[in-house]
Amino acid sequence: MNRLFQVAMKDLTLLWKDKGALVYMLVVPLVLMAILGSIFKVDSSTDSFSVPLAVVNQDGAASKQFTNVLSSTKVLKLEFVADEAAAKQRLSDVNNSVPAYIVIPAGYGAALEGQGQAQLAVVKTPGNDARAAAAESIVRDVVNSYNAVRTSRAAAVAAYKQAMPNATADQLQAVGLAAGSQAQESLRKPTASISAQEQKQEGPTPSGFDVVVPGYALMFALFAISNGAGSILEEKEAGTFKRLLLTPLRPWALIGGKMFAQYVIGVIQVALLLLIGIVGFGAHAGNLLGLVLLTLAVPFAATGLAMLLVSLVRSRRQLASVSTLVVLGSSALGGAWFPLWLLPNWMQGVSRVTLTSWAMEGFNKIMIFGKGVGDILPNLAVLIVYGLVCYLIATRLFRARSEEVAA
Amino acid sequence: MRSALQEQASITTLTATQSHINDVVNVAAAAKTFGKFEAVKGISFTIKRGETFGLLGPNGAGKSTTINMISSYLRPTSGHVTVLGMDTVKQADDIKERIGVVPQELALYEELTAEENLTFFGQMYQLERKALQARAAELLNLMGLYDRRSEPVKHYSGGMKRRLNIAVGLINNPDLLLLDEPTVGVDPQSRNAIFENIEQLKANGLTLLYTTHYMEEAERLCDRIAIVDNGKLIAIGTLDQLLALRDQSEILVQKPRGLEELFLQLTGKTLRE
Repeated sequence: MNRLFQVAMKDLTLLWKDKGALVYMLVVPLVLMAILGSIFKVDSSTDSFSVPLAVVNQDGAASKQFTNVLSSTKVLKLEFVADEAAAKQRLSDVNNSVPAYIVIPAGYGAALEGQGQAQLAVVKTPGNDARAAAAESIVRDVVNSYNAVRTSRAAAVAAYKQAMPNATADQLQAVGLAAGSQAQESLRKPTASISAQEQKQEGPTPSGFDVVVPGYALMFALFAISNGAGSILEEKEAGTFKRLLLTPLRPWALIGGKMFAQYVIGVIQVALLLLIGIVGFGAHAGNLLGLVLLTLAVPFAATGLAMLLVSLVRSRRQLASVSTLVVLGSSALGGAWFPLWLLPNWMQGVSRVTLTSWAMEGFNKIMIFGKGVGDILPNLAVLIVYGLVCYLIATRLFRARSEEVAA
Repeated sequence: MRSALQEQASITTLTATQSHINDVVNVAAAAKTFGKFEAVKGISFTIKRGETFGLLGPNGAGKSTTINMISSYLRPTSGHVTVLGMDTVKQADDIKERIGVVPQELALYEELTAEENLTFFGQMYQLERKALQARAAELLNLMGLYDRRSEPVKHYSGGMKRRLNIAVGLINNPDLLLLDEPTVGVDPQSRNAIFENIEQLKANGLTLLYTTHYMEEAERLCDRIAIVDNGKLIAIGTLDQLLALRDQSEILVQKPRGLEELFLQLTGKTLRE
């Protein structure tokens, strides 16, 4: 056992002497976390949610009230442009596009008051853009409410005229205005209404960093551990692997020592990245004991997986290709890049074969949903079993390939 | 006719053999096959205590495979090998405690210093810390590397790396040292320095197995030499005995002037082919 730890210490010493590698192991994931965590910020304030809408107003002042009503929804952010060509340009602007624009034709304001016919055009970006759909829906609601008020007014005037055939024009106008006001009031305070609420969750409001910090810590730990495990192949190529087996060092102690070194490196890396993510980027820590247990369990599984990958390949070049595929694939599938629940159900099922999905579910439970240690016990158990199974398979494969006399 | 010569060489060896008790290595009809390829085809020889025994042959002759079987790194496909009276298959761990191996590759950690390399490999023998430090210092002095012990090995010249490679093989104060072509790629001056180190080890009574394809090395260093080619033992004996084979054989048309000529006459090719 002593020799196992001495092998591990040697690997840790070699890493310590490579200061550049140490810096990259921390700096690269932190930079990515900072960028992506800021992009995927979650904000519960509706004030910050708005849909820009370009407006081509060919009706001038006659439609000013209409555009004021659109602005008063607080969701639509109107941008008035000179003509439809400019609006099309805004639609296709790569850097700062709008999801839709409307063209208010001449005479539309009068049509809203019941004078003449006019049709407003809503032009949206192709595809299922939720913002464009929201903009269209709001514009339709406003137009429909205008139509509803006008219809109420016309119906009231018609009914009064029928009841009072001798009513004067002023009287009819007063009835129409009163009916219109009543219709507008009904729209503002309907008798049958709906209310929409956000379910408040326990604990603080989650941020994008709550996903990005553990996700990228996990992904880069997987990369680091895989590369580190590849040192077995490097030692085989250099001849030191054989030299070590010419000493009384047993093969299991040699591989175990290298695994232990990678495990220690993984724990330190994940712990440091989580710490900086929590202290520096404001990710939520949640239950600290749960976080610590995950920080210990995840590198264990990752080290087992790395050893399995090393046992399947014959060169560092092969390992680089295989580990890139496995790490990126499991990171995407496993929720390291975006929350698992955004994936289709069938893909969420498939992701269960990755250690990433179990690890990220554990981190999400702790950091986003405010759960405790009891809730992540299944995740911890799976991660430990995952690591053990990978290690056992790797050991068998190493032994099968070896020609040494392992007495 | 060649087999007759080999038989005569074997007879020559047998008559010169000392008591069996002094055999540090006993290789008995050992063979090694990798798939269909026969790397070593049943060779037999012994190495006596305090002797420097040479395995001379071209690349691919089976020298390294033979050393790997003796060091317990490889199992013989057939035959058996004993080292210090212990079976290399059944008692591999015990053998590894008592032998040292200098591999053909420069098997060193280039980012570590010479001292760190020696300390790490010494730890594999569970040497006590102070004794290990003293042993490392002794070996660094012996190899002329003491003044540069704290530099990373990657800054060393090829000759220095080779000397450190030998030092690592000696870290556990072995009873038997196996050297697999220890001067490959080294300049003549460094090579000479290595020879002097080996001669000093010899003078101290260490048993050495030395493989090489340079006949001048075998002539200078070895007490007895086994000539191998194509996995087979061609001839074995002291230098004088091998060169005297002309008198006992119809193959040698004239007395060989050296081992290379002997090798050529025995095998029909030069050592460098």
